[in-house]
Amino acid sequence: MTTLPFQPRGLTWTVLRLHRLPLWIWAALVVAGSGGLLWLHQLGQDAAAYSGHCAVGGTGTPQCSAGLRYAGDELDFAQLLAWIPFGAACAGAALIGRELQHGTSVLAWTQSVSPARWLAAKLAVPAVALLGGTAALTLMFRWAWTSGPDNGVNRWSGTYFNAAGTVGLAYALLAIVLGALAATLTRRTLPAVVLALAGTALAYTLGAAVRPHLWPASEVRGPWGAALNHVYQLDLGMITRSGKHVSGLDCSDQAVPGDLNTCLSDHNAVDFYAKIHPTAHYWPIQLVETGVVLALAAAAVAAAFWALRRRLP
Amino acid sequence: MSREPAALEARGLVMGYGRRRRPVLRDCSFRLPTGRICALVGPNGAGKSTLLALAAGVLRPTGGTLRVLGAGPAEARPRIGYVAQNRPLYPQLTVAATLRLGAELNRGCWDRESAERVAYGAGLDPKATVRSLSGGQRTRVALALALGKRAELLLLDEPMADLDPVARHELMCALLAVVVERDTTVVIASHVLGELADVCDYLLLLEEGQIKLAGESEDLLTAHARLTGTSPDFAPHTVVESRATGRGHTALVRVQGPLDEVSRLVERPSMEELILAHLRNPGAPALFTGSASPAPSQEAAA
Repeated sequence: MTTLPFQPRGLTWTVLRLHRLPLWIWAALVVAGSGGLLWLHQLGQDAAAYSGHCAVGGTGTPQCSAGLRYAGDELDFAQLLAWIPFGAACAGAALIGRELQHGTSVLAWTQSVSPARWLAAKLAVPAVALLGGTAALTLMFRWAWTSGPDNGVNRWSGTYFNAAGTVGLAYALLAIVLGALAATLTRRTLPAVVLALAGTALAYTLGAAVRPHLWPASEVRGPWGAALNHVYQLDLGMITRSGKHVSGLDCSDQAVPGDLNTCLSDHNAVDFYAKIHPTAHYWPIQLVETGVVLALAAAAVAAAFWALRRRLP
Repeated sequence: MSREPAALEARGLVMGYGRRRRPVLRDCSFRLPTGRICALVGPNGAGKSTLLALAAGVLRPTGGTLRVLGAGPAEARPRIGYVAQNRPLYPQLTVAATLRLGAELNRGCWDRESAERVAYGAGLDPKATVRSLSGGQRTRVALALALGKRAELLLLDEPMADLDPVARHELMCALLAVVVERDTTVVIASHVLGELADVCDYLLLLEEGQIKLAGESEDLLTAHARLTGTSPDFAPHTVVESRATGRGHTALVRVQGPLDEVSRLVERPSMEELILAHLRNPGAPALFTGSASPAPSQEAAA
């Protein structure tokens, strides 16, 4: 504690001291993750330098394998970042559930710390550590990813969307708060952890399901090209002569592939359409989703305080 | 009639855990004036720990009211010291860090000297983690935290249960020294009276969730007598417990009039006898001395 630039006092000191080990482990993980992302950035620079000389699939010069390795490692890091909320859910549930289960919360409450202040500190200190670490890792990941070679990754893929934007921070915060809520509801560690993990998984799933509707989608007409590989595809289909959009129609059933006009007339259609979110919608959707998740987190905080107060005078 | 605020004042207190289970406290009423050292005695499961947890403001009663130091239990929490029966302490902290925690959470009013005297009295290593301590050593540390807080009311749940006789005596002396100096009110819950009898000047006897005896130890003792005579009829006194002995009949009675010392042998019962007689005979009516009866109602007090 002597190395800290500020001298924590009172309740803050207590929470830092009580959770010294988990906080150090988290700090070590953040440092290790940052080191890994630094290395990933370097790998990406190497891969980008040679990408012009390599055919798709990484054949050509021996250095072309760097591109393949980079793509795999980048995905690994994205997945690790996207898993942070699950760790946060466990931490929130365990840090608070353990105290309620073993009665050590009673010790704090009868040592001049009101239960509400106690819960606030037990939430705030880990949340600050969690958000600081996650923000650093997210920024470093974005830096490595955006400066690396373009390896055809869709920025809208669930893993990348959570790992490289503000929603990742919001989900981490929601998860730790859900952990606290589960702990104050069950007052036991293990059920709280299970409940918090389930809640976090549900939030992730709902988030992915609701995401396309958070911003009005655009529609593009004409044959589907490679440009669609980089947008968020919501719906593909054809427009019939009557002007109706029929979803799911494509040309895979053509005897002779390639002739789009024949394909269109076979389906009694006049044009192709694609409902998409272009890259321009990326940050609006990130921010709207972040707002929604933060609102949920605020509601979960209120519920956790209510659940704690329910049994107290 | 106006009285100074009591350390504890319960009125029709009810506490149940779950709807289907029988309540632990049932219509429990009593008053404990400040400045007393009170033994809260009762058999296992009588509701002693529940009553202390309610007084410490860490449980919400199902019904009734409880005033602590003239305030609600939640508001009074900063003014009380509580040692729960399971001695909650953070296992990962050392003894020294646990005392530091007490000092950090009670900045400005922490009594470091008393806390250290109680914690380190028996040569406890400050660097030992709480996890490695024995039950008795944990009790020491928990008691040190409660004392260091300079509380006005100490609620101690079975504080002596896991201490050896030497430590009991030594800790009790250390506790009393602090308590007498500060005029602290103390409630000590125990299922046996034992050596508490010499220390406590107030008694609350709790049985099946209700208070059976409440008041100054002296007053409770003088309200009772052990009579031995030839006749099994002890009127006009209320018989708490009677049995036939070799030469006649002996009864522990609640005195209701002049004692006839001619035809009967009149003896003063010990506190232990008094409690046992009441525990063996749950039918005996409850007895509250004047200071232990809760004020009849707010209107009457005003």
